[in-house]
Amino acid sequence: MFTKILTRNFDQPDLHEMEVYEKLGGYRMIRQALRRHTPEEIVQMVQRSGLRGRGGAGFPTGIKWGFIPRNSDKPTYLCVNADESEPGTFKDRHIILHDPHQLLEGIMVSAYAIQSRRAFIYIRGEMAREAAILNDAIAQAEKKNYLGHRIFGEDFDLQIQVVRGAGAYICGEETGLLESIEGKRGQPRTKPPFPAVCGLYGCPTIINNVETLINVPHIVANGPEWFAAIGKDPRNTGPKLYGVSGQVKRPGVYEFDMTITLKELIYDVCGGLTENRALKGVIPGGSSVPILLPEEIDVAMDFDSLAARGTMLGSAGVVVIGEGTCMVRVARRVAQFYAFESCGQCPPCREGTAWLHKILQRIESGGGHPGELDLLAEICDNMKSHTICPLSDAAAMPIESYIRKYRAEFEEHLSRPGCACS
Amino acid sequence: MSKVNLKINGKTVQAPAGSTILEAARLAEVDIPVLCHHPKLANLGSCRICLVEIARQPNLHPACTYPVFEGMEVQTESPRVVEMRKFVLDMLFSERNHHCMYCEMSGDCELQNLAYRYRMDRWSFPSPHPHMPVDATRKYFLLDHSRCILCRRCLRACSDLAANHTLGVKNRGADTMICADMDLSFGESSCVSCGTCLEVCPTGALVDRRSAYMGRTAEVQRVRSSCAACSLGCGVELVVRGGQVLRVESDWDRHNEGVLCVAGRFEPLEQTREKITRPLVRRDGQLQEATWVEALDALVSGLRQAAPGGIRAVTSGAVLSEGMNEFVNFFKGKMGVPVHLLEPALAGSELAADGGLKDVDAADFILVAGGDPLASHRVLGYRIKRAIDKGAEVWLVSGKETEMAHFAARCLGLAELDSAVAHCMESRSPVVVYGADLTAREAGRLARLRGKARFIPLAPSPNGHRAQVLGLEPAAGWAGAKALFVLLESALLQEGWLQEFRRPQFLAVYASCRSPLTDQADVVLPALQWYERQGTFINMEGRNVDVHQAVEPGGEGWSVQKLFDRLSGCMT
Amino acid sequence: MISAATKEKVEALASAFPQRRSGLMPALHLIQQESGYISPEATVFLSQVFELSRAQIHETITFYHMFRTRPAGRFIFQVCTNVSCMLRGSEEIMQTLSEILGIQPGETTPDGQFTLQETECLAACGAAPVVQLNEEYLEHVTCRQIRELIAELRKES
Repeated sequence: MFTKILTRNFDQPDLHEMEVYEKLGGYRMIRQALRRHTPEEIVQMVQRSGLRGRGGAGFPTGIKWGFIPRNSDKPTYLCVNADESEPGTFKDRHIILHDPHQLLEGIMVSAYAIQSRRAFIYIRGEMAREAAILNDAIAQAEKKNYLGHRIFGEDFDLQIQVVRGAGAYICGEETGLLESIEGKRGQPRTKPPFPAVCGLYGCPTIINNVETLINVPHIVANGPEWFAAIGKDPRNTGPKLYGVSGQVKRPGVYEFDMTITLKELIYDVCGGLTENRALKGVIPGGSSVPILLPEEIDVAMDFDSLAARGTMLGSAGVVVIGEGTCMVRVARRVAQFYAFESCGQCPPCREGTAWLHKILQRIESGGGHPGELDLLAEICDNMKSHTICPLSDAAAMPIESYIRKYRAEFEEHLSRPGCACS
Repeated sequence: MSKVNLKINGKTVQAPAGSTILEAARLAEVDIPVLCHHPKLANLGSCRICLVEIARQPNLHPACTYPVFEGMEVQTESPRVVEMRKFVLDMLFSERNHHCMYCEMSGDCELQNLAYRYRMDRWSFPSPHPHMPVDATRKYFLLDHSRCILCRRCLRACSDLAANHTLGVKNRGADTMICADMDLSFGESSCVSCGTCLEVCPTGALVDRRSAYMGRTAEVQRVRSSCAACSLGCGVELVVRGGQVLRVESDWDRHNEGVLCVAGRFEPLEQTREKITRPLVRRDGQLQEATWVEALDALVSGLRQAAPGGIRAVTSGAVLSEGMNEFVNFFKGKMGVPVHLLEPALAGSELAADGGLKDVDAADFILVAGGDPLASHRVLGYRIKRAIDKGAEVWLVSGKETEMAHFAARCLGLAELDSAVAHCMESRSPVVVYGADLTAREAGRLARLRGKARFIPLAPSPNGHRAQVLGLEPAAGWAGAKALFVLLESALLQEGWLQEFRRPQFLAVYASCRSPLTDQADVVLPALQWYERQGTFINMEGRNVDVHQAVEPGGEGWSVQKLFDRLSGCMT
Repeated sequence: MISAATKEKVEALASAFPQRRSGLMPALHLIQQESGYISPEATVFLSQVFELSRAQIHETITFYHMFRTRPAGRFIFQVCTNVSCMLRGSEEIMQTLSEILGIQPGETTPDGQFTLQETECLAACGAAPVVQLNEEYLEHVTCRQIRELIAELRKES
C-alpha cells in the first residue's frame, strides 16, 4: 500500500500560508540539509536515490547536477521549469496551487546542493494566479529570512525570482526556457554546449521540473535508500504524480509509486470511463508520446515499462479516449498544436508540423488523397531527431502512432467525406 | 594550438582543437552543403542541411556547430544523411514560392544548387504557393518573402556585421517572417541601405533592383578593386558584364570584412549626372564638342596667356595617387605654379594615422572627435557600433549634431575635449577617431594621447593623405589667378565652395561628369569614369590600396597621366 | 499611453536581473496589463530602457502568443480546444460562445467588449473543459454557465 508523500498535505486548508506549512513539518528538511550535509553529499544522495526528472525526459537528476563544472568562476543558476504546457499535463500547476512552500523548500535544498545563489522559477504566462501564489510564498519566506542573505542563519544566500512566460510551449524545452528568461524569443539553442556548462547568461545552469525538485527534500530527510525502495524497480524510484484527464469518471492528479499500472489508474483510481463507454486508446504521458491501444494498458506507469511498449512516461499526463472519438480529429488537433508551437528555426519542424496539420485537416474534412497516409508517415519519420530540439519528434511520434494503430479509420476518412465515428 | 585527428568519409584529417566538423571538412576538401552558415556570421545550426553522421552517435549533428574530437569518424554523404538532406530541401521548396524560372537568382541560388546536387526531380507536396508579400519600398533592393528560407543570414549580417539591428524575425513556426524594426516597411525603417543583407542572402529573397536579371555568375566578370567614396578604401568587387558595371559587391577578405555602405555599394551606379565623354571648348560663348588636339591647343594658349604668375592649379583629393603625382610634377615641378587641394584638410598633421578597423574591434574606449563617421566614413561608423555592442564605450566630442550621437555613451562639446582625453588615458586599448572639424589647437590636445591610443583620421577626401604627403593645402582663394586648372574627376563640389568661387579669365576643368563648374569652363577635358581608372590611393590606415579598371573607357576620356604626358609635350 | 508609474516599474525591472534584457518579459506583461496591448510607442520606450533595437523588442513580442500588438476586447475568452478539453466538449463551448457573441474565434465584437480565441492546453486538464476569461481560469465549464456569464458581463458593460 502506497502512502502519499508529495501530496500528503494537499487537503490541508491554507497550506500556502507559511504557518500552516511549518506546522506540518515544513522547512525542517532545508534546515537539516544546511546543517548536516555538504552540498556534495546532497548531490550524491540524489544520485543514489535514482530520482529521474519528472518533466518528460526522465534523465537522472543527480547525474545532471554532476555535470556542473567544479571551480568555475561564474555563478551557477537554478532554473525551475514550471512552464507546464504539454497537453494533458497538469501536475505542476496542482503542486503550485496547493503547496507553494514545498516547491520553495525543494528549490532551497537543490540550490544549496549545486551551490546556486540565484534561482528562477519560469512559470507559464497563463498561470497568473499561480505566479501570484509563488510570489506571495517567496515574500513570506523572505520575511522570515528563509530566503535572502544567510538563510536560516546558515552560511548560504539564496534569491528566488518568478519569471512569467507568455504563451510558448517551446519554453518548456531547457534552452528555450533560458532564452526566454533572457528576454529573447524562446528558440532552443544548439547543443553542445549544454546548459550545465553554458546556460543562463552563459553560466553553468541546472534546469529542473517542479515535481522533480519537491522530491529532493524528502530524499535528504529520509535518505536515498528509502527513496530508492519506493517502487519495485531500481531504475524507477520514488513517488510519481499522474494527471489523468479525458473521458474518465474522476479525472485529477494522483500520487503513486511507479508500480501502478495504466489499467489500475484508469479503472480503479479514476472509476473507469464516463458513461461506461469502451476504451479506444490512452495517451500515457502527454500529447507528445505514442498512443496505447486498450489491449496495451496493463503496463506499469514507469519510464522503462512504457518504453518497452514503444511509448513514454513523458510528463505522466494520461489522456483517456473512449469509443466514439474520431482519431483523425484527435490527430489533427495534436498536429495543430505542434504547428502552432514550433519555434520556426529548423525547416523539418517548421514545415513538417505545418504539413502534418494541413494534410490531416484535409483528411478530416474529407478532402484527403490516397497515398497521403504514407506521405504523413514519411514526413513523421524524417522529422524525428533531425532538429535542434525534440519538438519535431514530439509532433511526429504521436501522429505516426495514431496512423499506425488506427489506420482503418484514417483510410475510411480518405474513401468518403465525413466521419463515421461521430 | 593542439590538433585533433579525425576521419571524414574515411579520409584522415588533422584539425585544430575546437574546430567545427565543417571547418575540418574544408581542410580535407570535403564539401558539406550549408544554407544558414556563412563564414563571416555566427553559426546557428538551424537549417539542418549540413547534418552529418558521426560514428557511434544515434543522431545526426550539424557540421557547422559540432566540435571535432579525437578519433571522430564522420560520414557526410551517407544514405541516411542524403535522405535527410532531401527531406530538408523538400520542406524548404514546399514552404513558399520557389518557382526558379521566375527568380532572378536562378543559376546562382544556393538553394537551387542543392536541389540539383541532391536530384530533386519532383514536388513531394501538392504545391501550396502561399501568397507572400514583396517589400519594394527600398530604393536599391527589394525583399521577396516568397523566396525566403528563413536562414536568418540577413538579420545576422544586419546585427553582427553592420551593427544596425534593423532586421529581425516576427511570429513563429511556419508564420515566421523577416521584418524590419517593429514590422515597418523597409522604406520606413531604420535600414541604412548598406546592402550587407543583400550580399549574404543565399536565395532570391533579397534582390538588387538595378542588376536584377542582367547576368548570372557564369556570365559576369569580377574585378577586385577599392571603393574610393571615402578614405576607408573598402575592398570591393565590381561585377561587370558587356562593358557595364552591374553592381558593386564587397571583398570579404579586406579590412571592411564584407561590409560596405550605400555610398560605396549603390550610389556610384546611380549616376544621375551627365557624363562627359568628349573634350569641350568654349567658342562664341558656348561650350562645344572638340577634338583632343583642339582642346589641348585651347588649354595651352589659355595657360600661356596667364603665365608665368597668373596660373593656379587645384586638385580634388579624390584623384588617385599616380594622377595626383603627375599633376603636381607638371604644375609645381615644371611650371612653378602653386598647387592646392580642393577639399578641406585635417588639422593636426602631427597626429598619426596608425589605427585601423581591427583596432576598433579590440577597443574598450573610442573617442570620436570633430567628425561623424556615420555620415562621412560609414563603414567605420558601423564598426564602432559593433564595438559598442561588444561593450566598448564611445565618447563623442563635437560642435555639431551627428548621427553618432545616438550611440555614444557621452556627448561633449569641443570645450570639454580635455576630460575625454583624460578618460582615454585611463582606458586599456583606446582608439581616437578625429575629423576635420578640429582646429589645430584641439588636435594638439589630442596629441597627448600619442603612444596611448591608436589614431584614425576621417580625411575629408579619399586620397587626402596623399595630398598631405605631397604638401598640398586647401586653397585659400585664387583672387589673383588669371588661369585656373581644376583636376576634378568625379568629385562633387560643395555648395559653399561654388558660391564663393569667382571665375578667373581662363578656366580648365578635367572632369568625368557635368557640373556647375564645367558649365563655366573654357576648356573641359573628359576624365575617365570611376570604374575606368586604374591606380592606387592611401587609405585611412596609411596603406596603398589598388583601384582597378573594371571596364574599357567608353568615351574619349584620358587618364590624368596621359593628359599631362601630352600636355608636357605641348608646353615645351 | 504608458503611465509614469508603469514607466518607473519598467525601469526598475531592467536592473532586477543579472542582465538588463531579462526585465523585458515582465515589462511586456506590465504594459499589456495597463494598455491591453503593446503599442509601437511602447516598443520604442522599451527599446530605450533595455538598450535594444526595436526589432529585438518586436522579435520577442511576436514570439509569445499572449502578447498582442493590437487592442483586444475588454473580456477575452480563450477556449482550450486541445485533446483533453476536446474530449470533454470544448467544441460545444466554443460554438456556444461564438453564437452568443456573434463572432468567430480570433475576432472581437464590434463594440470592443468581447474577444474570442482558441487556445492551447492550459494545464488544468483535470477540470476540462477549461476556458480562460482574461486571467481567470473557468473550470468544468458548461454551455449553460457560459450563457449566464455572458449575460452578466453584458449587464456590467
